[in-house]
Amino acid sequence: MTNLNLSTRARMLVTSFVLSALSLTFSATASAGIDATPSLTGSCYQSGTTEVCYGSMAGIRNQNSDYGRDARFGYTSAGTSYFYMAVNGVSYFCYAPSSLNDAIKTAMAAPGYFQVQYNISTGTCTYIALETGSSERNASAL
Amino acid sequence: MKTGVIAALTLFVGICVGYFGLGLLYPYPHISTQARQTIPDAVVRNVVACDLSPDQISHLSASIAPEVVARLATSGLSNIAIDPKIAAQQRQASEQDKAEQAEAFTRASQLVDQMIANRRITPEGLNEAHQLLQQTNQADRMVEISGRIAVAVNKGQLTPVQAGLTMPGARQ
Repeated sequence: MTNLNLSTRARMLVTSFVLSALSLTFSATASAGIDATPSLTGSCYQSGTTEVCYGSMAGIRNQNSDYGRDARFGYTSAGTSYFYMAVNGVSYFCYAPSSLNDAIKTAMAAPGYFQVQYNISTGTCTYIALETGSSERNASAL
Repeated sequence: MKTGVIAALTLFVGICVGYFGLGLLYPYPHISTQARQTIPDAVVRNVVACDLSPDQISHLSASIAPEVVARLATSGLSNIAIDPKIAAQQRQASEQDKAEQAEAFTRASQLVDQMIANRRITPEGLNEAHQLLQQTNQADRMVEISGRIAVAVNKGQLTPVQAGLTMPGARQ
């Protein structure tokens, strides 16, 4: 150590500073709020006579496992509003009663988590839940 | 003589007790008989505010005094049929409406079923079905018909594009 000249010592000092700063940055990133993107990549499952689909628009868009995965809410002047989702090549589609029209319109602009339930035998949407939290905000910013 | 006076006094006391005592038993002793016979406007308004079916109105008109019916009619019931003949006509019209609604629903269902069979759901076809229901005051039932399209898609009988979902990149 005593053999090292001043310039080498200065270089070592700067390097240690840079490494410390980098480690601080990474540790700060690791302790950020929850990013729920992996759990919001879109999925559907059957529960009795009801099909349940959930996810988030950003989570579905950003997933890489299923190219055709897609979710959408729609509204037409023919008095119909609907939900459509495709997961692993299977379509999940329901038309909403007029009582859910407002929920469909809200869902069209909602950035967060959604859950839609529909009656399998009638193709009628029966339930829509929308939720936006910090985790979904993170996901939509990706 | 004495007995007669006592009997007369007893009778008088009995009449007095009966006259004033009965007043205590009635809830509105201060309302005169004449006032009770007159129907105040507020009471009439309350009666008018009741939801009565045409049948109930007809029954009332046949069973209660004509003057009361006339008073009710002039107090806001003039737009409600109180004549049994008019009530019957209304019943007939209501049944006709139901028949028209059933026919329109059947036609709209057939229209959508035909589009599913042709594997081509068009906005025009959906609009026509919607109008049929709208014209017969049952637009809310559109979801019952459009749901058939959703079921067909979910069963793989129709593709999203055939179902009229015109999103970009949709699978054919």
